Amino acid sequence: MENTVVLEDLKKMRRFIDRSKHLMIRLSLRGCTNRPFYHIVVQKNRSPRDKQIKDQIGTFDPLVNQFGERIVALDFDKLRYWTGMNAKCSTPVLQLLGLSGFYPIHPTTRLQAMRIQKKGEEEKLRKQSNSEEKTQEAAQEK
Amino acid sequence: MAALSRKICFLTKLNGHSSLTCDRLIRRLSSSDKVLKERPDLLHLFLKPKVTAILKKLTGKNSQKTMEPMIARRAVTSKYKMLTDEELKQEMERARQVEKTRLQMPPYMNARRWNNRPLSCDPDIAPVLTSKYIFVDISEASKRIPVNHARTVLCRHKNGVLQHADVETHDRIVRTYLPVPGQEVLTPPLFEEDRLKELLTPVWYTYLLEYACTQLEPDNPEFLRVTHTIYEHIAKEGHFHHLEATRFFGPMAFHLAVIDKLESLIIFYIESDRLSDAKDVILLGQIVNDEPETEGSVFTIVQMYVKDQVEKVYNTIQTQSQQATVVKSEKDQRIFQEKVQGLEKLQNVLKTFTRKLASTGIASTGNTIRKRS
Repeated sequence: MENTVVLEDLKKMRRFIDRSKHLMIRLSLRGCTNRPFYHIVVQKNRSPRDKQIKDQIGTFDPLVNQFGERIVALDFDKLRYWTGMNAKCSTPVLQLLGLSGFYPIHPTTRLQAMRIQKKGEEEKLRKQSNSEEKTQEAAQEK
Repeated sequence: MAALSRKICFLTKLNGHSSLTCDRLIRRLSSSDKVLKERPDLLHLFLKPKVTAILKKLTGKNSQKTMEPMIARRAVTSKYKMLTDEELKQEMERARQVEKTRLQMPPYMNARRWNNRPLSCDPDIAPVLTSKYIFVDISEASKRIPVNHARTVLCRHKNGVLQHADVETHDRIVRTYLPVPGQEVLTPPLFEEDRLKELLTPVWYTYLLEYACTQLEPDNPEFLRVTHTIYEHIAKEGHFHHLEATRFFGPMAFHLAVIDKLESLIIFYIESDRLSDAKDVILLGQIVNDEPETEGSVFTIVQMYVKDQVEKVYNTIQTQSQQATVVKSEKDQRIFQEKVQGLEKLQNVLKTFTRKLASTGIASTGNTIRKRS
Protein backbone atom coordinates (compact mmCIF):
# COMPACT_ATOMS: atom_id res chain seq x y z
CA MET A 1 0.00 0.00 0.00
CA GLU A 2 2.82 2.45 0.91
CA ASN A 3 4.92 1.74 -2.17
CA THR A 4 2.20 2.35 -4.73
CA VAL A 5 1.96 5.96 -5.98
CA VAL A 6 -1.63 7.10 -6.23
CA LEU A 7 -2.95 9.87 -8.49
CA GLU A 8 -3.54 12.18 -5.48
CA ASP A 9 0.13 11.91 -4.50
CA LEU A 10 1.18 12.83 -8.05
CA LYS A 11 -1.06 15.88 -7.93
CA LYS A 12 0.50 16.95 -4.64
CA MET A 13 4.03 16.73 -6.06
CA ARG A 14 5.58 20.07 -6.89
CA ARG A 15 5.07 21.18 -10.48
CA PHE A 16 8.29 23.03 -10.56
CA ILE A 17 11.77 21.72 -9.98
CA ASP A 18 13.91 24.00 -7.84
CA ARG A 19 16.50 25.40 -10.22
CA SER A 20 17.95 27.86 -7.70
CA LYS A 21 21.69 28.28 -7.98
CA HIS A 22 22.47 30.78 -5.28
CA LEU A 23 21.64 31.55 -1.70
CA MET A 24 20.67 35.22 -1.60
CA ILE A 25 20.69 37.82 1.14
CA ARG A 26 18.14 40.38 0.06
CA LEU A 27 15.29 42.64 1.08
CA SER A 28 11.81 41.21 1.53
CA LEU A 29 9.05 43.85 1.55
CA ARG A 30 6.69 43.79 4.51
CA GLY A 31 4.54 46.42 6.13
CA CYS A 32 1.28 47.66 4.64
CA THR A 33 -0.09 50.26 2.25
CA ASN A 34 1.94 53.48 2.34
CA ARG A 35 4.17 51.95 4.98
CA PRO A 36 7.02 49.87 3.53
CA PHE A 37 9.30 47.90 5.82
CA TYR A 38 12.00 45.50 4.72
CA HIS A 39 13.28 42.30 6.31
CA ILE A 40 16.83 41.34 5.36
CA VAL A 41 16.46 37.63 4.67
CA VAL A 42 18.36 34.63 3.39
CA GLN A 43 16.56 32.79 0.58
CA LYS A 44 17.27 30.70 -2.46
CA ASN A 45 17.45 32.97 -5.46
CA ARG A 46 14.37 31.64 -7.29
CA SER A 47 12.04 31.82 -4.32
CA PRO A 48 9.28 34.44 -4.25
CA ARG A 49 10.21 37.67 -2.51
CA ASP A 50 8.17 37.11 0.68
CA LYS A 51 8.05 33.32 0.91
CA GLN A 52 10.34 30.35 1.56
CA ILE A 53 12.72 32.22 3.82
CA LYS A 54 15.62 30.32 5.28
CA ASP A 55 16.59 32.87 7.90
CA GLN A 56 15.98 36.49 8.78
CA ILE A 57 19.13 38.42 9.59
CA GLY A 58 17.85 41.95 9.98
CA THR A 59 15.49 44.75 9.12
CA PHE A 60 15.56 48.01 7.23
CA ASP A 61 13.09 50.81 7.83
CA PRO A 62 13.04 53.07 4.74
CA LEU A 63 10.88 55.72 6.37
CA VAL A 64 12.60 58.48 8.32
CA ASN A 65 11.72 58.54 12.04
CA GLN A 66 11.10 61.50 14.34
CA PHE A 67 14.85 61.91 14.93
CA GLY A 68 15.62 62.05 11.20
CA GLU A 69 17.06 58.54 11.03
CA ARG A 70 16.65 55.46 8.89
CA ILE A 71 17.45 52.41 11.01
CA VAL A 72 19.06 49.21 9.76
CA ALA A 73 19.32 46.34 12.22
CA LEU A 74 21.68 43.53 11.27
CA ASP A 75 22.71 40.33 12.99
CA PHE A 76 26.34 40.36 11.93
CA ASP A 77 27.08 36.92 13.34
CA LYS A 78 24.38 35.41 11.11
CA LEU A 79 25.52 37.53 8.18
CA ARG A 80 29.03 36.17 8.54
CA TYR A 81 27.69 32.63 8.82
CA TRP A 82 25.58 32.80 5.67
CA THR A 83 28.34 34.58 3.75
CA GLY A 84 30.48 31.64 4.76
CA MET A 85 27.79 29.32 3.36
CA ASN A 86 28.30 31.17 0.06
CA ALA A 87 25.25 33.41 0.06
CA LYS A 88 25.30 36.37 -2.33
CA CYS A 89 23.93 39.76 -1.33
CA SER A 90 21.62 41.70 -3.60
CA THR A 91 22.66 45.21 -4.64
CA PRO A 92 20.47 47.12 -2.15
CA VAL A 93 21.81 44.98 0.69
CA LEU A 94 25.37 45.56 -0.51
CA GLN A 95 24.68 49.28 -0.62
CA LEU A 96 23.43 49.24 2.97
CA LEU A 97 26.40 47.18 4.11
CA GLY A 98 28.68 49.67 2.35
CA LEU A 99 27.06 52.55 4.17
CA SER A 100 27.46 50.69 7.47
CA GLY A 101 31.18 50.25 6.92
CA PHE A 102 31.06 46.44 6.89
CA TYR A 103 31.90 46.44 3.16
CA PRO A 104 33.38 49.30 1.12
CA ILE A 105 31.02 51.78 -0.49
CA HIS A 106 29.25 50.11 -3.41
CA PRO A 107 29.87 51.48 -6.90
CA THR A 108 26.10 51.89 -7.35
CA THR A 109 26.05 54.32 -4.44
CA ARG A 110 28.83 56.32 -6.03
CA LEU A 111 27.05 56.33 -9.40
CA GLN A 112 23.82 57.51 -7.78
CA ALA A 113 25.71 60.27 -6.00
CA MET A 114 27.36 61.38 -9.24
CA ARG A 115 24.03 61.40 -11.07
CA ILE A 116 22.31 63.44 -8.36
CA GLN A 117 25.16 65.90 -8.29
CA LYS A 118 25.16 66.24 -12.10
CA LYS A 119 21.41 66.82 -12.07
CA GLY A 120 21.80 69.43 -9.35
CA GLU A 121 24.46 71.27 -11.33
CA GLU A 122 22.30 71.24 -14.48
CA GLU A 123 19.37 72.60 -12.45
CA LYS A 124 21.61 75.36 -11.14
CA LEU A 125 22.79 76.30 -14.65
CA ARG A 126 19.21 76.33 -15.93
CA LYS A 127 18.08 78.55 -13.06
CA GLN A 128 21.02 80.89 -13.63
CA SER A 129 20.26 81.22 -17.35
CA ASN A 130 16.55 81.80 -16.55
CA SER A 131 17.38 84.58 -14.12
CA GLU A 132 19.80 86.11 -16.64
CA GLU A 133 17.07 86.08 -19.30
CA LYS A 134 14.66 87.73 -16.86
CA THR A 135 17.11 90.52 -16.01
CA GLN A 136 17.81 91.04 -19.77
CA GLU A 137 14.04 91.28 -20.48
CA ALA A 138 13.58 93.74 -17.63
CA ALA A 139 16.47 95.85 -18.97
CA GLN A 140 14.95 95.77 -22.54
CA GLU A 141 11.50 96.87 -21.28
CA LYS A 142 13.09 99.86 -19.56
CA MET B 1 20.91 47.57 33.76
CA ALA B 2 20.27 44.20 35.35
CA ALA B 3 22.91 42.50 33.22
CA LEU B 4 25.44 45.17 34.05
CA SER B 5 24.64 44.95 37.75
CA ARG B 6 25.03 41.18 37.62
CA LYS B 7 28.41 41.57 35.91
CA ILE B 8 29.56 44.01 38.52
CA CYS B 9 28.29 41.88 41.38
CA PHE B 10 30.23 39.00 39.86
CA LEU B 11 33.28 41.25 39.87
CA THR B 12 32.84 42.08 43.54
CA LYS B 13 33.20 38.37 44.29
CA LEU B 14 36.61 38.52 42.67
CA ASN B 15 37.67 41.28 45.04
CA GLY B 16 41.05 40.78 46.53
CA HIS B 17 42.19 38.70 43.56
CA SER B 18 43.24 41.46 41.21
CA SER B 19 42.56 39.50 38.07
CA LEU B 20 43.36 41.17 34.77
CA THR B 21 39.91 40.54 33.29
CA CYS B 22 38.27 42.12 36.31
CA ASP B 23 40.42 45.26 36.09
CA ARG B 24 40.07 45.46 32.33
CA LEU B 25 36.29 45.22 32.44
CA ILE B 26 36.08 47.85 35.15
CA ARG B 27 38.36 50.13 33.16
CA ARG B 28 36.29 49.54 30.04
CA LEU B 29 33.06 50.31 31.85
CA SER B 30 34.36 53.34 33.71
CA SER B 31 35.51 56.33 31.82
CA SER B 32 37.35 59.56 32.36
CA ASP B 33 34.99 62.45 31.80
CA LYS B 34 34.99 66.10 32.70
CA VAL B 35 32.01 65.34 34.97
CA LEU B 36 32.63 65.05 38.70
CA LYS B 37 36.00 66.82 38.84
CA GLU B 38 37.78 64.33 36.54
CA ARG B 39 37.64 61.23 38.72
CA PRO B 40 38.11 58.24 36.42
CA ASP B 41 38.30 55.71 39.21
CA LEU B 42 34.86 56.09 40.78
CA LEU B 43 33.54 52.67 39.83
CA HIS B 44 36.77 51.07 41.00
CA LEU B 45 36.42 52.87 44.35
CA PHE B 46 32.75 51.94 44.63
CA LEU B 47 33.59 48.24 44.21
CA LYS B 48 36.39 48.24 46.78
CA PRO B 49 35.59 45.74 49.55
CA LYS B 50 36.17 48.35 52.29
CA VAL B 51 33.80 50.81 50.70
CA THR B 52 31.16 48.16 49.93
CA ALA B 53 31.30 46.96 53.52
CA ILE B 54 30.78 50.47 54.88
CA LEU B 55 27.90 51.15 52.50
CA LYS B 56 26.22 47.86 53.34
CA LYS B 57 26.53 48.62 57.04
CA LEU B 58 25.07 52.09 56.62
CA THR B 59 22.16 50.74 54.55
CA GLY B 60 21.13 48.76 57.56
CA LYS B 61 18.65 45.93 57.73
CA ASN B 62 14.95 46.51 57.94
CA SER B 63 13.35 43.43 56.43
CA GLN B 64 9.84 44.86 56.74
CA LYS B 65 10.79 47.80 54.55
CA THR B 66 12.94 45.95 52.05
CA MET B 67 10.48 43.14 51.46
CA GLU B 68 7.45 45.39 51.22
CA PRO B 69 5.47 44.47 48.08
CA MET B 70 4.44 47.11 45.58
CA ILE B 71 1.33 49.14 46.36
CA ALA B 72 -0.77 47.52 43.63
CA ARG B 73 0.04 43.99 44.73
CA ARG B 74 -0.46 44.29 48.47
CA ALA B 75 -3.91 42.74 48.46
CA VAL B 76 -2.76 39.81 46.33
CA THR B 77 0.57 38.78 47.81
CA SER B 78 -0.36 37.56 51.27
CA LYS B 79 -0.42 33.77 51.28
CA TYR B 80 -1.04 31.36 54.14
CA LYS B 81 0.68 27.97 54.23
CA MET B 82 1.09 25.04 56.59
CA LEU B 83 4.79 24.21 56.84
CA THR B 84 7.03 21.85 58.78
CA ASP B 85 10.07 23.25 60.56
CA GLU B 86 12.38 22.26 57.71
CA GLU B 87 10.12 23.79 55.09
CA LEU B 88 9.94 26.94 57.18
CA LYS B 89 13.75 27.09 57.23
CA GLN B 90 13.78 26.72 53.45
CA GLU B 91 11.24 29.51 53.03
CA MET B 92 13.27 31.79 55.32
CA GLU B 93 16.40 31.02 53.32
CA ARG B 94 14.56 31.86 50.09
CA ALA B 95 13.32 35.10 51.61
CA ARG B 96 16.86 35.98 52.66
CA GLN B 97 18.06 35.46 49.09
CA VAL B 98 15.29 37.71 47.76
CA GLU B 99 16.24 40.36 50.31
CA LYS B 100 19.86 40.11 49.23
CA THR B 101 18.95 40.75 45.58
CA ARG B 102 16.70 43.64 46.58
CA LEU B 103 19.59 45.27 48.43
CA GLN B 104 22.01 44.97 45.50
CA MET B 105 23.30 48.49 44.97
CA PRO B 106 23.16 49.96 41.46
CA PRO B 107 26.75 50.76 40.41
CA TYR B 108 28.04 54.30 40.76
CA MET B 109 29.79 55.18 37.53
CA ASN B 110 31.04 58.13 35.55
CA ALA B 111 29.15 59.18 32.42
CA ARG B 112 29.92 56.97 29.44
CA ARG B 113 32.52 58.43 27.16
CA TRP B 114 31.43 58.82 23.55
CA ASN B 115 34.14 57.74 21.11
CA ASN B 116 33.44 60.30 18.39
CA ARG B 117 36.48 59.58 16.24
CA PRO B 118 35.15 59.24 12.67
CA LEU B 119 35.54 55.70 11.38
CA SER B 120 35.26 56.75 7.75
CA CYS B 121 34.76 60.01 5.80
CA ASP B 122 33.07 59.71 2.42
CA PRO B 123 31.85 63.13 1.31
CA ASP B 124 31.43 61.79 -2.27
CA ILE B 125 28.29 59.86 -1.37
CA ALA B 126 26.72 62.76 0.55
CA PRO B 127 24.16 63.55 -2.24
CA VAL B 128 22.62 60.07 -1.82
CA LEU B 129 22.18 60.39 1.94
CA THR B 130 18.89 62.19 2.45
CA SER B 131 18.86 61.30 6.16
CA LYS B 132 21.01 59.77 8.87
CA TYR B 133 21.46 56.02 8.63
CA ILE B 134 21.78 54.10 11.90
CA PHE B 135 23.20 50.57 11.92
CA VAL B 136 22.68 48.32 14.93
CA ASP B 137 24.24 44.98 15.65
CA ILE B 138 21.46 42.74 16.94
CA SER B 139 23.62 39.65 17.34
CA GLU B 140 23.09 37.57 20.45
CA ALA B 141 25.01 38.42 23.59
CA SER B 142 28.33 36.57 23.52
CA LYS B 143 31.98 37.04 24.33
CA ARG B 144 32.10 39.73 21.66
CA ILE B 145 29.07 41.52 23.12
CA PRO B 146 29.07 40.86 26.88
CA VAL B 147 26.84 43.86 27.69
CA ASN B 148 24.57 46.16 25.73
CA HIS B 149 27.21 48.88 26.10
CA ALA B 150 29.46 46.89 23.83
CA ARG B 151 26.88 46.68 21.07
CA THR B 152 27.97 48.52 17.94
CA VAL B 153 25.59 51.30 16.95
CA LEU B 154 27.00 53.29 14.04
CA CYS B 155 25.68 56.45 12.46
CA ARG B 156 26.27 57.47 8.84
CA HIS B 157 25.63 61.20 8.85
CA LYS B 158 24.31 63.20 5.92
CA ASN B 159 27.79 64.53 5.13
CA GLY B 160 29.11 61.00 4.63
CA VAL B 161 30.90 60.63 7.98
CA LEU B 162 30.60 57.26 9.76
CA GLN B 163 30.78 57.48 13.54
CA HIS B 164 29.69 55.66 16.65
CA ALA B 165 26.29 56.91 17.74
CA ASP B 166 26.30 59.16 20.79
CA VAL B 167 25.23 57.79 24.17
CA GLU B 168 21.60 58.88 24.01
CA THR B 169 21.04 57.50 20.51
CA HIS B 170 22.88 54.29 21.36
CA ASP B 171 20.70 53.60 24.37
CA ARG B 172 17.52 54.53 22.54
CA ILE B 173 18.25 52.19 19.61
CA VAL B 174 19.21 49.36 21.96
CA ARG B 175 15.94 49.88 23.85
CA THR B 176 14.06 49.74 20.51
CA TYR B 177 15.50 46.41 19.40
CA LEU B 178 16.18 44.72 22.72
CA PRO B 179 13.32 45.68 24.99
CA VAL B 180 13.28 44.93 28.70
CA PRO B 181 9.96 44.74 30.58
CA GLY B 182 9.31 48.07 32.24
CA GLN B 183 11.50 50.00 29.81
CA GLU B 184 10.04 52.52 27.40
CA VAL B 185 11.81 53.33 24.13
CA LEU B 186 11.61 57.08 24.73
CA THR B 187 12.47 58.35 28.21
CA PRO B 188 9.34 59.60 29.96
CA PRO B 189 9.02 63.37 30.45
CA LEU B 190 8.89 62.95 34.23
CA PHE B 191 12.69 62.93 34.26
CA GLU B 192 12.87 66.45 32.82
CA GLU B 193 14.29 68.98 35.26
CA ASP B 194 11.14 71.02 35.90
CA ARG B 195 8.87 68.01 36.34
CA LEU B 196 11.39 66.18 38.48
CA LYS B 197 11.53 69.15 40.86
CA GLU B 198 7.78 68.92 41.44
CA LEU B 199 8.01 65.21 42.18
CA LEU B 200 10.77 65.42 44.79
CA THR B 201 8.67 64.51 47.82
CA PRO B 202 9.41 61.63 50.22
CA VAL B 203 6.58 59.54 48.78
CA TRP B 204 8.22 59.40 45.35
CA TYR B 205 11.95 58.98 46.13
CA THR B 206 12.17 55.20 45.77
CA TYR B 207 9.69 55.16 42.89
CA LEU B 208 11.75 57.66 40.88
CA LEU B 209 15.01 55.89 41.62
CA GLU B 210 13.61 52.48 40.71
CA TYR B 211 12.11 53.89 37.51
CA ALA B 212 15.44 55.45 36.58
CA CYS B 213 17.17 52.11 37.19
CA THR B 214 14.80 50.16 34.93
CA GLN B 215 14.70 52.78 32.19
CA LEU B 216 18.31 53.93 31.94
CA GLU B 217 21.79 52.46 32.02
CA PRO B 218 23.89 53.36 35.09
CA ASP B 219 26.40 55.37 33.09
CA ASN B 220 23.85 57.25 30.98
CA PRO B 221 24.23 61.00 31.60
CA GLU B 222 20.43 61.27 32.08
CA PHE B 223 20.51 58.60 34.79
CA LEU B 224 23.37 60.39 36.55
CA ARG B 225 21.57 63.72 36.41
CA VAL B 226 18.30 62.27 37.76
CA THR B 227 19.88 60.25 40.56
CA HIS B 228 22.28 63.00 41.62
CA THR B 229 19.40 65.51 41.76
CA ILE B 230 17.41 63.15 43.98
CA TYR B 231 20.38 62.37 46.25
CA GLU B 232 21.30 66.03 46.68
CA HIS B 233 17.68 66.95 47.40
CA ILE B 234 17.48 64.24 50.07
CA ALA B 235 20.72 65.53 51.60
CA LYS B 236 19.40 69.08 51.63
CA GLU B 237 16.12 68.10 53.31
CA GLY B 238 17.67 65.46 55.56
CA HIS B 239 15.19 62.75 54.52
CA PHE B 240 17.75 59.96 54.86
CA HIS B 241 15.49 57.56 56.72
CA HIS B 242 13.31 57.18 53.62
CA LEU B 243 16.19 55.55 51.73
CA GLU B 244 17.47 53.44 54.61
CA ALA B 245 17.21 49.68 54.01
CA THR B 246 16.79 50.29 50.29
CA ARG B 247 19.39 49.56 47.63
CA PHE B 248 19.92 53.29 46.98
CA PHE B 249 21.38 54.31 50.33
CA GLY B 250 24.86 53.11 49.40
CA PRO B 251 25.13 55.01 46.11
CA MET B 252 23.66 58.08 47.81
CA ALA B 253 26.26 58.05 50.60
CA PHE B 254 28.98 57.46 48.02
CA HIS B 255 27.75 60.36 45.90
CA LEU B 256 27.76 62.71 48.90
CA ALA B 257 31.30 61.58 49.69
CA VAL B 258 32.40 62.29 46.13
CA ILE B 259 30.90 65.79 46.01
CA ASP B 260 32.08 66.43 49.60
CA LYS B 261 28.67 67.14 51.13
CA LEU B 262 28.69 64.64 53.97
CA GLU B 263 27.75 67.21 56.63
CA SER B 264 23.98 66.66 56.50
CA LEU B 265 24.41 62.89 56.73
CA ILE B 266 26.70 63.22 59.77
CA ILE B 267 24.20 65.60 61.37
CA PHE B 268 21.46 63.03 60.77
CA TYR B 269 23.45 60.36 62.58
CA ILE B 270 24.55 62.55 65.48
CA GLU B 271 21.00 63.75 66.07
CA SER B 272 19.78 60.16 66.22
CA ASP B 273 22.66 59.16 68.54
CA ARG B 274 24.35 56.88 66.00
CA LEU B 275 27.96 57.97 66.37
CA SER B 276 29.46 54.77 64.97
CA ASP B 277 27.55 55.32 61.72
CA ALA B 278 28.80 58.92 61.66
CA LYS B 279 32.33 57.61 62.06
CA ASP B 280 31.75 55.19 59.17
CA VAL B 281 30.57 58.05 56.98
CA ILE B 282 33.71 60.03 57.81
CA LEU B 283 35.83 56.98 57.01
CA LEU B 284 34.03 56.65 53.68
CA GLY B 285 34.76 60.30 52.88
CA GLN B 286 38.42 59.79 53.68
CA ILE B 287 38.73 56.67 51.50
CA VAL B 288 36.95 58.35 48.59
CA ASN B 289 39.02 61.51 48.76
CA ASP B 290 42.25 59.59 49.33
CA GLU B 291 42.96 61.09 52.72
CA PRO B 292 44.68 59.36 55.61
CA GLU B 293 42.22 57.55 57.85
CA THR B 294 42.08 58.89 61.40
CA GLU B 295 42.12 56.42 64.23
CA GLY B 296 40.90 56.52 67.76
CA SER B 297 37.61 56.30 69.52
CA VAL B 298 34.43 57.06 67.66
CA PHE B 299 33.91 60.38 69.38
CA THR B 300 37.46 61.61 68.72
CA ILE B 301 37.19 60.75 65.04
CA VAL B 302 34.03 62.81 64.68
CA GLN B 303 35.56 65.73 66.55
CA MET B 304 38.78 65.62 64.56
CA TYR B 305 36.84 65.50 61.32
CA VAL B 306 34.76 68.55 62.18
CA LYS B 307 37.89 70.41 63.30
CA ASP B 308 39.76 69.58 60.08
CA GLN B 309 36.86 70.62 57.88
CA VAL B 310 36.44 73.92 59.72
CA GLU B 311 40.19 74.57 59.44
CA LYS B 312 40.11 73.95 55.72
CA VAL B 313 37.24 76.36 55.24
CA TYR B 314 38.94 79.07 57.31
CA ASN B 315 42.14 78.64 55.30
CA THR B 316 40.30 79.05 52.02
CA ILE B 317 38.53 82.15 53.34
CA GLN B 318 41.87 83.62 54.44
CA THR B 319 43.52 82.95 51.09
CA GLN B 320 40.49 84.42 49.34
CA SER B 321 40.67 87.60 51.40
CA GLN B 322 44.40 87.91 50.63
CA GLN B 323 43.99 87.41 46.89
CA ALA B 324 41.35 90.04 46.37
CA THR B 325 41.51 89.70 42.59
CA VAL B 326 40.37 86.07 42.53
CA VAL B 327 37.09 85.86 40.67
CA LYS B 328 35.00 82.81 41.48
CA SER B 329 32.06 81.73 39.40
CA GLU B 330 28.63 82.13 40.95
CA LYS B 331 28.14 78.40 41.12
CA ASP B 332 31.42 77.83 43.00
CA GLN B 333 30.56 80.62 45.42
CA ARG B 334 27.14 79.15 46.07
CA ILE B 335 28.64 75.68 46.67
CA PHE B 336 31.20 77.17 49.03
CA GLN B 337 28.54 79.08 50.97
CA GLU B 338 26.43 75.96 51.29
CA LYS B 339 29.47 74.09 52.57
CA VAL B 340 30.13 76.78 55.18
CA GLN B 341 26.50 76.71 56.32
CA GLY B 342 26.56 72.91 56.52
CA LEU B 343 29.72 72.97 58.60
CA GLU B 344 28.31 75.59 60.98
CA LYS B 345 25.23 73.48 61.48
CA LEU B 346 27.38 70.39 62.05
CA GLN B 347 29.48 72.23 64.63
CA ASN B 348 26.36 73.33 66.49
CA VAL B 349 24.87 69.84 66.45
CA LEU B 350 28.10 68.36 67.74
CA LYS B 351 28.25 70.97 70.53
CA THR B 352 24.72 70.13 71.69
CA PHE B 353 25.54 66.45 71.53
CA THR B 354 28.69 66.82 73.66
CA ARG B 355 26.78 68.93 76.18
CA LYS B 356 24.12 66.24 76.36
CA LEU B 357 26.75 63.54 76.86
CA ALA B 358 28.59 65.58 79.47
CA SER B 359 25.35 66.19 81.38
CA THR B 360 24.48 62.49 81.37
CA GLY B 361 28.09 61.72 82.26
CA ILE B 362 28.76 58.97 79.69
CA ALA B 363 31.60 60.51 77.69
CA SER B 364 34.93 60.86 79.47
CA THR B 365 37.26 61.43 76.59
CA GLY B 366 38.59 64.67 77.98
CA ASN B 367 38.65 66.21 74.53
CA THR B 368 36.76 69.42 74.05
CA ILE B 369 36.06 71.34 70.90
CA ARG B 370 38.24 74.43 70.98
CA LYS B 371 36.19 77.47 70.05
CA ARG B 372 37.54 79.41 67.12
CA SER B 373 37.70 83.13 67.72
